[in-house]
Amino acid sequence: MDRFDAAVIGAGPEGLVAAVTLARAGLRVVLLDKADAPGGRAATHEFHPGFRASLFADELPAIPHRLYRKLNLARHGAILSPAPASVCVSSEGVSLLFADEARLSRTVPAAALPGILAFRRETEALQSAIEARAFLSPGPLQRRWFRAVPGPARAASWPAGGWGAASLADALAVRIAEPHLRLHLAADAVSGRAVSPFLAGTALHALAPGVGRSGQPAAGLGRLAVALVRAAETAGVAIRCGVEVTDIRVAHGRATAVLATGQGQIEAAAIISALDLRQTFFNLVPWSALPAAAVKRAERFRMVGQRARVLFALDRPPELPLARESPDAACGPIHVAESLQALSQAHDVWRVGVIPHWPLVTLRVPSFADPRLAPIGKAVMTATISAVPTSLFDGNWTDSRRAKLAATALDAAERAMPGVSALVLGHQIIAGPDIEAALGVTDGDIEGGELAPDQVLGFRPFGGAQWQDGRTPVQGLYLAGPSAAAAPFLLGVSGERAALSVAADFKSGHLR
Amino acid sequence: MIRHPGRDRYDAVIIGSGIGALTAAAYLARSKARVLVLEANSRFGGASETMEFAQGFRAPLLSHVAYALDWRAVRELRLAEHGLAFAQPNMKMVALRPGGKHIVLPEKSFRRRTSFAAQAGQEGLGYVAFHEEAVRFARLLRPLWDGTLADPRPENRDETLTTLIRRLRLTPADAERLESLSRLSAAAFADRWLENDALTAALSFDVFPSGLSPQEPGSALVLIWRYAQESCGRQGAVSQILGGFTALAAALEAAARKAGAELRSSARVSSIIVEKRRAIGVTLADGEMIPAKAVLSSLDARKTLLDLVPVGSVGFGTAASMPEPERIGTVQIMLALTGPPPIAGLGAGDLGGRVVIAGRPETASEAKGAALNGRMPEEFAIEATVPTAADAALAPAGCHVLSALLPYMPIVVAEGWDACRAILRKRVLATLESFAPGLKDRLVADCMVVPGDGKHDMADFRSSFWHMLASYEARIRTPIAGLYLCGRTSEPVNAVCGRAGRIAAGLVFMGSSHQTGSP
Repeated sequence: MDRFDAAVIGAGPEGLVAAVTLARAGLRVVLLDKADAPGGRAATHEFHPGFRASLFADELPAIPHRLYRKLNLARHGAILSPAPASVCVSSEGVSLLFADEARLSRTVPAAALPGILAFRRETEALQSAIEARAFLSPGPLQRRWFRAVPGPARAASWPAGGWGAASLADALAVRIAEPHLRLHLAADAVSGRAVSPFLAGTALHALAPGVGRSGQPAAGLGRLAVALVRAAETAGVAIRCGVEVTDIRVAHGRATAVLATGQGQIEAAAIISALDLRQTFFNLVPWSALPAAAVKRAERFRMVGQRARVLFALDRPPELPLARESPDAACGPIHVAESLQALSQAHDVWRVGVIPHWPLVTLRVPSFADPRLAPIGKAVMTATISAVPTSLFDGNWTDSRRAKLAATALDAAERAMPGVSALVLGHQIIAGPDIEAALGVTDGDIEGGELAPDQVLGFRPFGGAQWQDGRTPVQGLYLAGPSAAAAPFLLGVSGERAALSVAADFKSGHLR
Repeated sequence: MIRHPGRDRYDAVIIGSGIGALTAAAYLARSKARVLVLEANSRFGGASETMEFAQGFRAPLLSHVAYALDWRAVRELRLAEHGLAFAQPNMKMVALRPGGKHIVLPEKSFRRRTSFAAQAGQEGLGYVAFHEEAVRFARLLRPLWDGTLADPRPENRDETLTTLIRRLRLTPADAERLESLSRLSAAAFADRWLENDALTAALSFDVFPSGLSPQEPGSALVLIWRYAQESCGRQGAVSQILGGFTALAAALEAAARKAGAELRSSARVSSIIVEKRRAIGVTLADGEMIPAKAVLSSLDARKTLLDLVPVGSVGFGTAASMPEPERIGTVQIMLALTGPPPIAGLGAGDLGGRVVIAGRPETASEAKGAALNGRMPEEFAIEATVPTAADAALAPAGCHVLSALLPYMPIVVAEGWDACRAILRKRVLATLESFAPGLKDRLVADCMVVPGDGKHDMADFRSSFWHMLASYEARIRTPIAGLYLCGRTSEPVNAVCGRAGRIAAGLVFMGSSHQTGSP
């Protein structure tokens, strides 16, 4: 029987960060994952002979610079660089928004520029406020999300009147007049999610955008995963893959051990779960160990699958017409969307379990940034289809439905990059159930819970100060996964916070 | 206020003659100001109309009950002496359920709690806890919503909540709960205490005046607003006015005239005269200029500030921050019946209540989703009243009127309203028939009013968290000095209350006394 100071369940980015933080604090840490290789959401897999890609997402929330430096990720090979631009193709035309202000001013109409810059500045100020608050430690965060913080983040206290409960359409309408640019910015915000931009509370998505946030690894998410794994190995974390945790043992209200396939019982004073809230509470911990109130609140936590992905192996790199003038335009996300109305319609049918006809499709060609993902001369293209339900109202995911999804993705790709369908060598379709099976996330919700005003920041996973640092009602069990407070906004922070709580509890004698 | 003998100048000109405008006129006239009300149509009362939709059958148009009437205005203006009477000062709520196990929530808060708890057992206990929490918050926030909290505009929007918490002197625990409440949806809020989906749907149905659906964040606050109207006994519980809002408008008109206000009909205001960022009068469509010290508009904010005021005088920021026009509206269908609607499982005494068919908790939000996309919802929530149950004068003897409101309907339908009208009528009748078998046999005539009919004078607007938590003063004042908004857009949610009129009159009065005080 093994005995460790801490066991971390799930070797995704959050779990890795938690394990590194604990190991550096001098604790003996074991990291368990049911997949064959660590990396979780960020890992890269071969989906077609010779072609590799991140299966579930092209981008995750940005890893904060402070954490990046602390973990020494540059030395381990993850170089961060923002996506240079994003492209939006709709029936009204094509628009290109550069991240760089000088280049932006050359491509958008002069009248629209101030609005876009104002929009960016406001969202960035709020994001840095959130980031600043995420590191105010130790102690409960709940109150602090709402208090003004000193310094530049001060102006952007949360919840901001316009951002707290407004609709995304309104938030865009007051700043930007051109419908096409509104659509472009909305697509950046909600890519990969099912959102009706006209409903209250959706402005929030602009603060936790699906794509386009600066600070992604230059060579794809897989590189970030590799760097985090190297950091963990360097710190002395015992990583055990292919090990599925089936139970968390609770005795006298205290988590004492995990049961893992092929490993038997692994005892640990502290257990950090980097799985989502439902998996942790409902599948791992015996119900009787949890207070009834906590069970009820966890039941009400809304988790719904919102995306599907199609990965394409291409015979040669596709051609984006815009990229002839600005070659790096093709390195960022390429949205194919109809209108804000269509986003709303897609959300509408998604709610009742129907695959939308005209969903928002976000295309990426990751092999532009990292040619090693494909054999020489060939390319990888991914399509993220938003508002695809995990459970369909009229039955299962049949092959014909999957094929239709691939056709939808290819149609969209054809609109943005004419001629691309002739290049396809093979494809893989990843629908909600596949994400659920591969990552073990409830309902295939890779983001660990719907992003709504009552489910973010101080209210995630539940409102209340005692929840904020990853602690749970079970002593010795900590939550670090995507359902934790900062997860939709920042990568790794919830893992670090949970680890810091563990370290603090060891110090104060709560854990032995 | 001081009169200026010999100078033909009004202290206040009021654009429109809705309930808010007439309330403001009556209050200002009472304080001896020279007031002129300008109404574009030939009759006063704004959008309130009692419509004769079939020979001998009449029903109030669109607002068939008063959700949040300002009882202080009713009392202070002595409207009872001017002919205002209530058919029912407090209405009970009846939530219909298929199978006949209807939920009847009696009119009085206290009775509602105890009697309901007795009738429903375990579920009733959950309801008692829900009610207590809602009323407790309603009490905390009441100063905000009855206009007693004089709150200068917070310096920036971001601090609305923190300013409010300070001003209301909330304890840290309450502040925290308010913070979480303001981002909850009504359905989630009710769901905390209630297990029964039908009850959750029925209770959260009441958020519809705000334009939010019960599953949108922020709608829990609308629910609290409704309880704030109710928490002090009679104050603004849902009531039915004898003769509908037309009668209320007539009583207000009489009160205003008696106090000395001037009312002019068929006088359409074409613009507001602004000089040095101050409103100094209005111009009528026929070119007549009417100077005034203050201008009050009961039209909506968008129309007032974007159409009536000269271009450029409100500033780009304000103009841009006007929300887009709403895309969802209300449909009303009125039925003329030869007898009371035979709702299965409902006693004759319960017919006078608001009859709500809320369906599932998702019904309303699904309907809103469809409406936003210009489609006709498959299922819809209905609020029906039988105005003739308490007001027999609206129909010939023995006959009845059923008025059904369908919130969350598209304003523009893709196929056009003409094509959809018949389908919708059929669906509504089928729904009503399923709860009241035999209704069709008693039907002699019916009339449907849809958003395209031009009966919706006042633009619908959606309320937001920010709009609801701002003070009345912030909603009434405009960037132009001397120009005030006293219509429905100054209320926290889209409901006819008259409260904005009363408070606007107070602000005008205070503004003018400041002026005359300085040399």
